[in-house]
Amino acid sequence: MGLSEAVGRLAVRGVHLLVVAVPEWPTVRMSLEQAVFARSWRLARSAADADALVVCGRPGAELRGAADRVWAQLPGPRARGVLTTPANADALLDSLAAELLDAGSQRRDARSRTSYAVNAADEDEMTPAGIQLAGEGPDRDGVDLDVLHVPLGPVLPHWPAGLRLDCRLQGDVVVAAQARMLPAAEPEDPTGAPAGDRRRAVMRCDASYRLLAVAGWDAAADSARHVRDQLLTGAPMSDCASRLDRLRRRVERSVSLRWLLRDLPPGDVHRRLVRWLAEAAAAARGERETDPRVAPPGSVTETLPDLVAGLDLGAARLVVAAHEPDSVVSVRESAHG
Amino acid sequence: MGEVGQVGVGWVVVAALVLFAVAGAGAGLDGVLAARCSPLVEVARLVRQRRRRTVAADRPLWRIGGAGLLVVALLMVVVVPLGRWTVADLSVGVVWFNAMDVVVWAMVWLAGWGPNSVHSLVGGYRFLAQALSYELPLMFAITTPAVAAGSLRIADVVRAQQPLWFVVSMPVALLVFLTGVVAFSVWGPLGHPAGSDVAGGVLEELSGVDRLLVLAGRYALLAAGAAFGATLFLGGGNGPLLPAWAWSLTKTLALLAVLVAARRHAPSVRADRLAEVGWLVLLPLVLVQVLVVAVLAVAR
Repeated sequence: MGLSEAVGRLAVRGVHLLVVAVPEWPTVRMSLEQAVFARSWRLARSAADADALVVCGRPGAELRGAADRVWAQLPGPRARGVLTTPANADALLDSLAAELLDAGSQRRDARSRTSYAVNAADEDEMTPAGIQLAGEGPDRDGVDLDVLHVPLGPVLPHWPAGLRLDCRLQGDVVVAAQARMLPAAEPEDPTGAPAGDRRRAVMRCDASYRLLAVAGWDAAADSARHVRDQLLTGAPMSDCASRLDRLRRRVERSVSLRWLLRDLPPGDVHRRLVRWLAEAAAAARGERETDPRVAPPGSVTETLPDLVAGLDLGAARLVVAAHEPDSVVSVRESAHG
Repeated sequence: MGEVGQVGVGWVVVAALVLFAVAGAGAGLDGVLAARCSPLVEVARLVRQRRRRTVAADRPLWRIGGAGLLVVALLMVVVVPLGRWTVADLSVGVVWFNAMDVVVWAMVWLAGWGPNSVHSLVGGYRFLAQALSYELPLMFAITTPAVAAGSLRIADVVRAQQPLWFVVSMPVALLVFLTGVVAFSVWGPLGHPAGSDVAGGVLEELSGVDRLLVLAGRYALLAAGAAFGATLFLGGGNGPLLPAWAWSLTKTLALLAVLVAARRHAPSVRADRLAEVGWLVLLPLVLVQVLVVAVLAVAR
């Protein structure tokens, strides 16, 4: 075994994997995440950070296009996969690792890649490397400042599946935004996915995990994810309920989290998180939901732009995460015709 | 313990190796605490990975920023004694460390600016805003031991801690100092410039060996900060039974363990919120601390 092979074998013990979440395929995404963490792999935070990219579900044409563009940014060695059945997650990860170790195919892949070519005709002082310079506009204090047009999503860590938020940024402040959903080609197969109370508990847990992760509290986020994964694999619900109660008390008591999440629209994001955890525990105990508060389809893309306008990017991310992903619209490409 | 004395230039290599070993121990501990694989796996992964290039990047500045963190950490430990040995016994050692931690501003900003990418740039902005909040309290925190010792020479600060370590008379300064170390290492609750909410911020576009340099630089900064804190507040090489170098190392590792363990246990503090804490809480607290120590020093 040569040195490079030894290094490769060591490297694939900690692959960083970038997830492309598809709306209406939550179980597949969660199963993949679970398999990733079970073998001490990690979720990548960006394309440059990733060794592998996995599309979780069957995306519509637009989302598929976005996944392709992200794939083109993986530095390599790189591997790509599609997961449509939760049970295949482990096998898929094995094949990704094998692909990453296959020197021949990695070399072929590297040779076939084209780098960004700058067209000399497009390049002048106002368009370096063919990119338009940022425009200008008055900021919150009336000072003229660069305006950048930046799409957030659909491929971002802990981001609602398929959401694309087109922002106008000044510095790190979102001046204005437009939200759109990039739909799935079809929804996931509900057989085998958790149902009823278990499903409600899983979804609330997942939403809490993502909000805690965006807030940067890794220890609490990991606890929420652990419970979610246990619920997903059919652990006794009563055990999960008491663990959720403990987590809820920890989150509720955290002075720093409350301080960091206060003043974020709509209302109190900290209280919303505590409520999710309480609802997850109640669902795990089989109690009926007293206040379902399910947002009507389409409402999130309508309300989000107003909520995030005027916030800095960090606060905007928290506000987006505070909208539970499963209430995000469920439209299908077929519905558009 | 005897006097701290300067060693020959050749020992610089050993000092660097000790810093890397301590930083590596920190990375290993973080891996254990987060139930991740060993840092060796991550090193192997990054060594194998290709370097990412972005369109219209400011490549020289980006690379300088990326490699700069490790260089700054190495320059910091130049003045930090290991027991009785120090590489450079500067008469202004305390100021030297402070100057180096200000260089971190430039390095993180360049790492964010270089790749011509929005999330990286936002990470850079965040770091500058964060620096405005932590830097003044940090400066006063490291001034406090110098005031008590009546000298900016680190050897004098160590000697002044016999028999009582400075942490006893200046616990607030130590806490503020550790906050500053966490902040300039872009670590844990003060790691917002590299937060997951902006896809890794200043780290977003880094891959392969470039990412390895920045991650290693972060651990090295934490290690250098812990070593400096152990010297300024925990008596450096002072201690019974064990040789002086062992005391220095033990105290450094203990402080580093605290810093590493703190990473996962608090949410990220956004720059605007940190400004409140920095200017309204930390700065007044540390000023009172300096005042108390100064009065004690004059009264003695």
